[in-house]
Amino acid sequence: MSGIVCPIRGGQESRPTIERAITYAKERDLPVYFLFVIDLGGIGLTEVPAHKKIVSHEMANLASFVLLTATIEADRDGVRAEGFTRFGHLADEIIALVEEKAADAVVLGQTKTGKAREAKTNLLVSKITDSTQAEIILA
Amino acid sequence: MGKYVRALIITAIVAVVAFVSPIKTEYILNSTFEDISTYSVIVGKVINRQRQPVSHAVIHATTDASGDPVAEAISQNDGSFILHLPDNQIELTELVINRPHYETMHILLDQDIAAQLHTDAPVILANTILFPDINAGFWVATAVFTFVLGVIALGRVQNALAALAGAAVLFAVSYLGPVWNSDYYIFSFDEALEYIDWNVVFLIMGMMLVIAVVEHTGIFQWLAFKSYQVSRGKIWLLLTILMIVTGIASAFLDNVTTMLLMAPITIQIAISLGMHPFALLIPEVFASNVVGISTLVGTPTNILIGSYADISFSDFLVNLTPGVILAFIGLVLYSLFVYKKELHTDQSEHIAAALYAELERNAVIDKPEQLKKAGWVGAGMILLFVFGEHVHLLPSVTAIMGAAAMLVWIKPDVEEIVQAVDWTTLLFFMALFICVGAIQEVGLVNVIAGFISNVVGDNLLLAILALIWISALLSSVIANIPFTAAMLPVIGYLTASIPGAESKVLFFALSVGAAMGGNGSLIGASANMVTSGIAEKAGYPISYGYFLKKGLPALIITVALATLWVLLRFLVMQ
Repeated sequence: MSGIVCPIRGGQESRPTIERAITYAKERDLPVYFLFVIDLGGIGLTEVPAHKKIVSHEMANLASFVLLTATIEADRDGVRAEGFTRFGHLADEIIALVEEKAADAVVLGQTKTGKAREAKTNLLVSKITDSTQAEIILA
Repeated sequence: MGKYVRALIITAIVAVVAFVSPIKTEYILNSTFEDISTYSVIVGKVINRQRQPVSHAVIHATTDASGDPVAEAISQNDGSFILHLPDNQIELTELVINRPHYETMHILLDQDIAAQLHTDAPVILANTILFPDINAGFWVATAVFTFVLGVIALGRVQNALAALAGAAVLFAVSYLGPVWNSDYYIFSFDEALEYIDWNVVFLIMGMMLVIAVVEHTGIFQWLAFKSYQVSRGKIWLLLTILMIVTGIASAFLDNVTTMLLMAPITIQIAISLGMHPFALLIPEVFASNVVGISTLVGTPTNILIGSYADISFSDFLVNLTPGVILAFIGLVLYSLFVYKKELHTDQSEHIAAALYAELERNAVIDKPEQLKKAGWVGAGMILLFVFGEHVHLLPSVTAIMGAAAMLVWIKPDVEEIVQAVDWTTLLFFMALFICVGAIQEVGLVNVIAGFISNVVGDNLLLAILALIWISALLSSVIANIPFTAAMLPVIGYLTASIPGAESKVLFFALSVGAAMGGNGSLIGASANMVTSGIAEKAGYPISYGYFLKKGLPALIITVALATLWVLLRFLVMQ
């Protein structure tokens, strides 16, 4: 096995995901690739190209910061970790990183319960499993 | 009577009629003694039930014999008109006054008037009151405007699209409707264009260009990081400084851009301190909404109000800024109280060295030379905003000059900067002006103004209180730009009719209510939505309920303090 991909956002809801990924990586002595996917849709009023550019820049800084907090935590537990910032859709970018790193597992967070959320997670899982051989671990 | 004496008398009459109105009549400049002296003349003024002048009314003079018009005049902006009669047409029996959306008025000319015309003396008519004609056009314009407001409030489509669709329907009805029934007429294309306030459009465009240059310099991120350094881990101090920085930035730039730049670095600072970002983010956006109204260019609503009511940059500084400072102090105290658990701890020891380094790296001034030049141009613009009024320099001209100066001196990528102009918003404003113009044209604004006038009567205090608080509460649930645009002519009417309101206090009341009301709910201001969007992307979604819980008390505190200032300034100090 070559590593674990773990998409995160930050905030309290990502905590269990990060912890699960670190624990899993430690058990198997694998590196963790934390991934922050920036999708600018939904921020609002960012349709102006210049706004998109400045928001992209600021969000990239924010993403690198969030990733750094996760990698520091992994380091503290003796797990090798690296952060990746990507722009685009979550599923596409997870698949791309799994392929790039030949990762064997993806740790996914489940932010909230509820049928809509469950359906969204299931859709994400099926997209990843359709395109890669990676094992899916739900935190 | 000598023709020069006649001309002098008529000119004096015209001057008196014009003097009554704040707007000078155009024909004074256009007429000459020679013109007037060769005709018999009827002078008058057309007003509506609210005693407001009615422009573009067509006045026909007819004779008994045929009933055909023999002379025609059009009322000016102040409602006055001069009807020039050929010398041989003295058997007049009637004047007919036509104006779309008003009932046609017939004025029978009695024998005394006819006799007066024979003597060549000018005839001065009493003010003619036109009564509104609530017809199909009225209902169409009302329905379209309500629909546009509703669609914008629901946020299902872009504001610009909603307003543009509304304007398109208004034109379609105006041009196609009269084929079946003339009652469907609302206004012509030319008349609609007269309602677009180009000063507003160009001022916003100029400021967008200026902001596009400034936002790429990294100054906001640097200021936020410096706030963090200066506070030395005292989070209550950090919050206060961040609120001041955000507020001052919002007074000169638009609130959305300010929060787009401040929110990400603020979240990073909060994470590095191990605290919840809301404790910094929410007070920041409150500060942005409150302090933004201290200058003419701080909010779109102030730009609208300033242009409509001829309120200058200095007027806002003198009449509103002290109230804003008072409200801001209240807001800071409220924020310190409501987030006291998160704030009253010294967390300077908690930050990891790597996080601090990353924070510092993300908060550098990218283009110091560009920032320096932008600072000089910005300072020059502020001077022109403040002192330009003495040479009748419009704020829009200052903004365009400043933008041009930045483009020429700093030499950024012009294509990139021009792309930064939010053409969608400018289109929204133009289409919105047309929609608001339609409800003015058909008389809905007069109906609303009449209703408010009946409620508040001559009581200025009641009018101020009602306006501030109703505006604040409405602005927390509906978009404040269309609301403000629609309210301006209503307030114009109230300003002319309520004793003491000529100080323009009601416009300042609208400014306070419309902008500070944005803190009442998540959808109350665009800056709130942008902040929420960024926070959500970072894993900290702001719920509607949470914002309401924190925002409503903030609204009440800040609006109450600002109200206190407005009352002191306009009722006690004047």
